[in-house]
Amino acid sequence: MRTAKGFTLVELLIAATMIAILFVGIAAHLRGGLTVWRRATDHGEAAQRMRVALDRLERDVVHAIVYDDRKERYGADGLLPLPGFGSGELRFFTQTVTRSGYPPSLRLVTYQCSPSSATPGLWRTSQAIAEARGNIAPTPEAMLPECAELSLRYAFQLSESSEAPSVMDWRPTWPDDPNEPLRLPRLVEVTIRSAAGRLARRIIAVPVGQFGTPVLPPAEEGAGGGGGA
Amino acid sequence: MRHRRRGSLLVVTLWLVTMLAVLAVAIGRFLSREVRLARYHTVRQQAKAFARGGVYLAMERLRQDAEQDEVDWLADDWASPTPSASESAWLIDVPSAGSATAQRRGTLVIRIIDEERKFNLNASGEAPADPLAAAARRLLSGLDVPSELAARLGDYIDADNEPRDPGGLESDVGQPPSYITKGGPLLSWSELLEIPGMAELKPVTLGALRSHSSVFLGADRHVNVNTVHPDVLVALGFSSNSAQALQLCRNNGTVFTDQATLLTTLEACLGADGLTSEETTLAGTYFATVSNTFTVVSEAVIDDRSPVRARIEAVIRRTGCPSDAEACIVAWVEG
Repeated sequence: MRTAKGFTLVELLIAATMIAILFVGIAAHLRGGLTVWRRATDHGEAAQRMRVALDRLERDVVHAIVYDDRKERYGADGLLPLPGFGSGELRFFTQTVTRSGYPPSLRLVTYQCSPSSATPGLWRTSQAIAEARGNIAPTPEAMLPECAELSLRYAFQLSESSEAPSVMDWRPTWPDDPNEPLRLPRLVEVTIRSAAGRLARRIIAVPVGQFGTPVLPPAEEGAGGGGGA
Repeated sequence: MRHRRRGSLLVVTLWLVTMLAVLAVAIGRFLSREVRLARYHTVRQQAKAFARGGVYLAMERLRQDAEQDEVDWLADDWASPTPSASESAWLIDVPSAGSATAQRRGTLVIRIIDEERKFNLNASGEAPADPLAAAARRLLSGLDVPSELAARLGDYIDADNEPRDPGGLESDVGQPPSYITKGGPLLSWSELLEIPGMAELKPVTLGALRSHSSVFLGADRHVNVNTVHPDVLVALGFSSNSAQALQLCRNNGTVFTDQATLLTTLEACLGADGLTSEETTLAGTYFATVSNTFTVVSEAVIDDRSPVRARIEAVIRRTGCPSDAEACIVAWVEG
């Protein structure tokens, strides 16, 4: 008598049906997990992009300098663009470390969160001094495509209010008095709101902001080592 | 009769186990990479924070030093901070997180360099016939900076529109992008690269220029006789013998304590040959005994899987600070 081998068609159909039911059940459970995983990944990536953009902005702000403290050197027609710290955009001189063993290169950078080339987002431009003088349009660099709003505040000193003597005196723009000498704020608060409503905020210290315009000691005559020229 | 069964359960099980194992390895590797990145980011932030702290520690040390004595010299507190330190640097152990003393996790190296031992590079912008402009040319020539670049540097800083010899360069608006000189003092090292040809200098030449000259000294043109580099003395017009004798004297512990006794101490230092009348004039014109501007180099190295470094070079000034601050930062570059 021959031994029966294999499965009958009915057995296979039953097995296939059971496996299909099993997989549909598992998939229903997995779909929820995958959705959570995808959302978490998207959220993480968005946070990562915001962090990278803020890191770049922080690097520029930390290295901010006053290139020239004479206001008459700024303006149109071959002069330098005046630095500006607005409530929604930044324009300032900074130093970028490019080559080991060389001084950092001097750049005029701008940041703004607005439509550019019909694409919204946080945009950064960077120019050499000669390019800035020559009004050569820089190529914008997309830092954060989902940026919907860039909000900035600036502080230089503690509040003069007697009610809050230890609170920084935050201002929406810097400098708020055009007659003040060119100098840098000490703190810059950056808030980015994404199109999805996420917020990222960072307070960046400007190390030379305390000084801003260098108060150069005058040449002294005679004693005390005062200078010859 | 023996009934043979040929089920597929074992095959299916093995297949599932294999797939799950592959999935587990993939997830494990992904998570491991993420953890490594997060860890590096954290350690890097810690290193940066330590390096920044090092700069503020140096500021405090400089402030205390100004309170303690009125002279700055190479055996001073800021220059030779601790007996265990290597050459003019502080070595501070960085403890592990949560441990103030126990485990060493890395090192913070802080070095303070007197900017007033250097030549004020902004003196290059004086009129070509000025002794300081000549001194600048001598110094730059000694550092292998081509004479054309020295002339361009002077033209970049001066306010006139006359190119210097040889090879000077004034503003040229003919071809875009225009080259426009600053007509004012350099406020940062970055501006050097704005001068055509400077970026082609070798790093070693730029390093020598940085160690012999400064752009942070404002309108002061003096050098600290207690710390000044011998090459700067030679550039100013001192003879090599006088410069070497002065250095030897300092190495033997002589300190120039004040302006009134400076020349007497200097003559005693230089021995029988003494100073020439020109050198006496130079000493009276350019020498001081205190310094107000310092470069602080703070480098944190944290030992992780591989060392993670953060380096900050800052320039600190002890005078001329706003709001009666006793010290302030005038330059800051993070590496």
